[in-house]
Amino acid sequence: MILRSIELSGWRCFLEKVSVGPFSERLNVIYGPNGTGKSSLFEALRRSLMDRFDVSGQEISEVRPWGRALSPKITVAFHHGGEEYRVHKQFLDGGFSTLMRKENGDFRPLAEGRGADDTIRELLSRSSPGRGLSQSKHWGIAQVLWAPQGELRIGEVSEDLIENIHKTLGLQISERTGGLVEEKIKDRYLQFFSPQGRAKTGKGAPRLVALNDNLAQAREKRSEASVALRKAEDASRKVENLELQLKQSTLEAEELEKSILKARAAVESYRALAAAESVKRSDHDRIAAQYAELNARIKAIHEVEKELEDLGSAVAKTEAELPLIQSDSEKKAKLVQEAGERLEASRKDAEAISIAEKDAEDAREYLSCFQKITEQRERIKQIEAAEGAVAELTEERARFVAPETKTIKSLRKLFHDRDEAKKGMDFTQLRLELTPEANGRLEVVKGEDPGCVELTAGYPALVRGTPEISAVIEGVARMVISGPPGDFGMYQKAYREKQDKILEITRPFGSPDLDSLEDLYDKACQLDQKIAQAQKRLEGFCGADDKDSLVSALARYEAVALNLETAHPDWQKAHPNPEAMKRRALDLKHKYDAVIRESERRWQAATTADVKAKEHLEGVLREFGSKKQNIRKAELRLADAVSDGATKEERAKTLQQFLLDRDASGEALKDIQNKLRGLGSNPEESLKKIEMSLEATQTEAQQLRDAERTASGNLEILIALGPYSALAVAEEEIVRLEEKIRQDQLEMDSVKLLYDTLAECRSAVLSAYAQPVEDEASRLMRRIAGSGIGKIGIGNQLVPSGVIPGAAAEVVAVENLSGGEQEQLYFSTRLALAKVLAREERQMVVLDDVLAATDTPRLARILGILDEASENLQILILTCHPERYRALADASFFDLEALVRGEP
Amino acid sequence: MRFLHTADFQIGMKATHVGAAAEKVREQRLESVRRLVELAKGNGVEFIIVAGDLFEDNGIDRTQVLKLVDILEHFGGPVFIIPGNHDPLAPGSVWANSAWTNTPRIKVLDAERPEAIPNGLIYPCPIKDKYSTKDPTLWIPSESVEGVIRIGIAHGNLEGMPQAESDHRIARNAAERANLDYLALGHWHSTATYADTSGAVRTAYSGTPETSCFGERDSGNVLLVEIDSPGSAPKISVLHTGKYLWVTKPAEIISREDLVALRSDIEGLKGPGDILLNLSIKGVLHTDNISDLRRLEDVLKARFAYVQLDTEGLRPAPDDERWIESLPEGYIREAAANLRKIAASDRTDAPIAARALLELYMISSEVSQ
Repeated sequence: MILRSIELSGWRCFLEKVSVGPFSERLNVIYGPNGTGKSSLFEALRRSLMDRFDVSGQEISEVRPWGRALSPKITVAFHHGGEEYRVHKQFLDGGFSTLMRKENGDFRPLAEGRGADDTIRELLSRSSPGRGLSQSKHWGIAQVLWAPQGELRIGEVSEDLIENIHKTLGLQISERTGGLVEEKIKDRYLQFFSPQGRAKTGKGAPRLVALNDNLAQAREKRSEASVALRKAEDASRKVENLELQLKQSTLEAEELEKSILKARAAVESYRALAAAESVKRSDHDRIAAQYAELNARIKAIHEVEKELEDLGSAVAKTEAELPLIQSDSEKKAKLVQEAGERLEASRKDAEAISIAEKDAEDAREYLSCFQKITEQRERIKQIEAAEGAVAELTEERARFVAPETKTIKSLRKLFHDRDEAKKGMDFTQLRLELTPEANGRLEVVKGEDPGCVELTAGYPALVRGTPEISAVIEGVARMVISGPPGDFGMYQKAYREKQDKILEITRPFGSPDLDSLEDLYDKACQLDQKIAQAQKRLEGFCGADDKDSLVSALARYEAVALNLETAHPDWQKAHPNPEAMKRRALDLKHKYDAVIRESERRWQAATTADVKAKEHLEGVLREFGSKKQNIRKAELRLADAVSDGATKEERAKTLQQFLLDRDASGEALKDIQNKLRGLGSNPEESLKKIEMSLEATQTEAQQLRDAERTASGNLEILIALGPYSALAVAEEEIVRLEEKIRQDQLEMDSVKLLYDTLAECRSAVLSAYAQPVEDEASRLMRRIAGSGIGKIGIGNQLVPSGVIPGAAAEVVAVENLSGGEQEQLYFSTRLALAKVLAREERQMVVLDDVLAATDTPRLARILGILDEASENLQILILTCHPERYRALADASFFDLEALVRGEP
Repeated sequence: MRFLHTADFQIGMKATHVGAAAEKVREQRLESVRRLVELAKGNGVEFIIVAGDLFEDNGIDRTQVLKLVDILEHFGGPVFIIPGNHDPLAPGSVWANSAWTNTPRIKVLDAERPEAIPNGLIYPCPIKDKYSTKDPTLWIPSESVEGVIRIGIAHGNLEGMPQAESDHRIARNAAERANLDYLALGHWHSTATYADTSGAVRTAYSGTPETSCFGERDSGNVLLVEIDSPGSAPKISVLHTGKYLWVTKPAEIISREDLVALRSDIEGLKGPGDILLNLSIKGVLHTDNISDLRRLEDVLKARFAYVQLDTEGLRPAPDDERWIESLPEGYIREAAANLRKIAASDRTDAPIAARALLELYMISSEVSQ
């Protein structure tokens, strides 16, 4: 499209009609200061061609000049597709749109109203935005050709524009069939897949989905049938096992029954033999008993007779020995008596020994007491002396009062503080010392003691005061002395306080003089020390005891000594020798002990012999009695043994007979016992065990039968379901479904492969179209900014992503470029796109003040490029700096301000 | 003595290898028994011997048992049956069904003891376990009885057969060892006869009366056996009872005419309704032939009892690019070229690419019309 002219009125700052044009087909510069309406002019151009006349809303209302009820009007004359067109459009009140086309030299109406708007859009752009204001992506190719102020950056590029570029580059398959083929491929693809490439599910899903579901179900059925068949086989095996077990059990039962019959026969035999054995045993035992009894009798008689004989001999012998034994016993008793008498006599000497030992002990005690008495007396004396010393020192100490340590320390501090305060007073108090040379009078006006002071020649007079001294010697002088500020009062107060305190504390001691007090304190300390030493000495003499206890102890010792002297009066004259006395007593004892030991030994021996003799005698007498008794018993036994009335011969004969009978019955018994042993252990036990086994086997067999019946019932139920047939049907169904799935999957995969392959090829081809634009834009950019800038990266959507400088492989994003470089980058891209779009028809490029950040050298290069580009493009530059573009020699310049004023 | 020897009905057999025709195939197995019963009646046989594997599994639907019993009953004469390894005599087996006890003429010989028949004795060797290494014929006593024809029935693998399995092995000389006039065997589905040392054929597999899978040689038969007297050589005739023909046909097409010839060849097969066809075509597919192939597929499916068609061995003709050139210029054409390249390669997605190419061909043909 080429713009011929614009005429507008009632548009923002354009109240009156303003006509701009005719425009050059090449370079045009519309200039004017800020606020002239350059951008409004551009806006009006855009709205006249892109918007519908009946738009409403805030934005279009703002186009109306402020405070005026005017309807914005615009007329645009343009050339497109070899035709000249004129569009008249009025917005807001009384809005209309008329499109006219030059026919045979005159402009004739082509369309009106919405039809006009649609036709214009149809000419310039494919897509219609509907009611409302359009966005740049709906401007068609104008979205790259027209750059409003501040909008040089290229955002989203519409599909229509890309199509246009494809078309222009001859990259699109222009045949109708290509599109149809692609459509059909897409339709085929969409039978199986969503536009996002996912396999369809749900209502529109291909048959494959249902087949897979059916397959899953069939597999489940197969699984169930397989389980059922396995269960049936297991049940069959179980029944078979039970049958085998039952058969085995039945065989075992039969064997056991046979064993029972045998065992019962054995039991019968055993019982018969056992009964016979019992009878034989009884006979044998009876006979054996008879034999034993007779044999015992005969033995007994023989033994008793022998015993009687022995006993008779023994008794006779004892009767002969008894007198001798008695005589011996009597002698021994007499010896014991004699030894006892001798022992008694020896013991009488013990008393003298005790007396000697006691005397020695008393002597020792006596001497001990004596010593202790002496010691006690000495100690008591020492204690009394020490007590006297302590009392004397204490009395001396009590005679004067002295300050304590704490008091003296306090006094020292008080004196120090007082002196310090005094110093402070002296320091802060002023002094006036006058030594008059003549007598006179000094009038102290201000001072410590105001008043008159008589002056005597040669004698100094001192006046103190604070904070100043003022004194007058009448007729001579007035003196004023002032000194550095100081708190005399504070020091004076402190001094007085300390002094009062001192006096209070020292009052008891009679003198406020520290030295005196110090002396007192020292003296008191010395006395206290002496008292302490005396006290210590006293304590040393006392030790653990006190004086009273010592006195009591002394009295006790004296009493003991007196008692002992009373018992031994000769000790008063001379002290005894306890050691000698003790030795004497000991000698006596030793002698006595020896005698006693010998006497006791003899007595003991005699006693032992006597006891033995008596025991012997008693033993003999006892034995004698016992033998006598035994004789009597034996005689009784003999009488009993022969009470059967038989003779010895008769008994012997009977015994022989019994012996024969016994042997015979013993043989018979042995024979039966052998037979019993031949039958083994008691067969009744075995029979019982076998019967129990049989019972258990029969019970087991019954259980097996029951189990077999139950298992057979189970098996019948399982088999009745025909699990193999169900499995066969399921497996056949699975195979059928798998085959169908395989075929459908192949179909689906092949459709996808076709679609994807086509998409890949299309993408590869489509990506080729961006290359020429990228190359041209990069070439322009390098012309503007130098080769170091590298190349511009432009994607398939024709939006620059950044630059790829020199050897670098990575893209420098647009945001990382300077403002000027970003301007130049977008300018280059727009211009490259415009060149592509203008291949078939000249197009208009509008640049509304878009190179503000570009420096002069680069702008100069841009002007050169624009000049070249105007060979194929109509370029419309809106600027407030016309001087920057004066280098465009062939450009048409339009002074908008003048045009508004109505100037040509 | 004249009798029919058959075996391996495999009633209730699973037929996953024949897709949608499985039910038909299964049904036909019962029908083949019907046919052999008619043959038996038509040939005036005295009894029928069935040497095991009447059923595919002891777990089949019991209605099949009732149907078979009903069919066998129609013979009107004795039918001697032994269980085989597919239907062994185990608890819950098909033989426990009460239908067998309700038909006195049909005897399931479930014990190793001779069964008397007029002028003869049958020595059955019933199978009780699915797997066993024991020779089931060992129990047969070798003492012959004067004037009695001795017939054995057994099920298993005859020693010396190619591909013989290790279970239920039967000695090659079992018939001779046991002094049998004839040993009727079951287990293998192909008809086969075996001569003894004297050259007389006394051992035979009747095979299955209805072919059961592709590649099963010489099946769908029963044997008519005639023995004149004890010791004489049996006369054995093969009677066909099978309905379906299982045809495996590999084909290769190189030129355009080969497919036409193949179609003609297949259409020449008689009785396609009774043919199960396994057709695999490999070679080169020209674009002209694509529609022919589609039509062939439709015809096969409509006319034959079952068709398994494998065309994965077909590849697009390398020199056939005319249709690609007729595609719209640009990336569509390029896409076609890419697909062609993949289809002609050894890549795993070559079949998918071939199919994709076919899709494109179909679409472009549709658009061109």
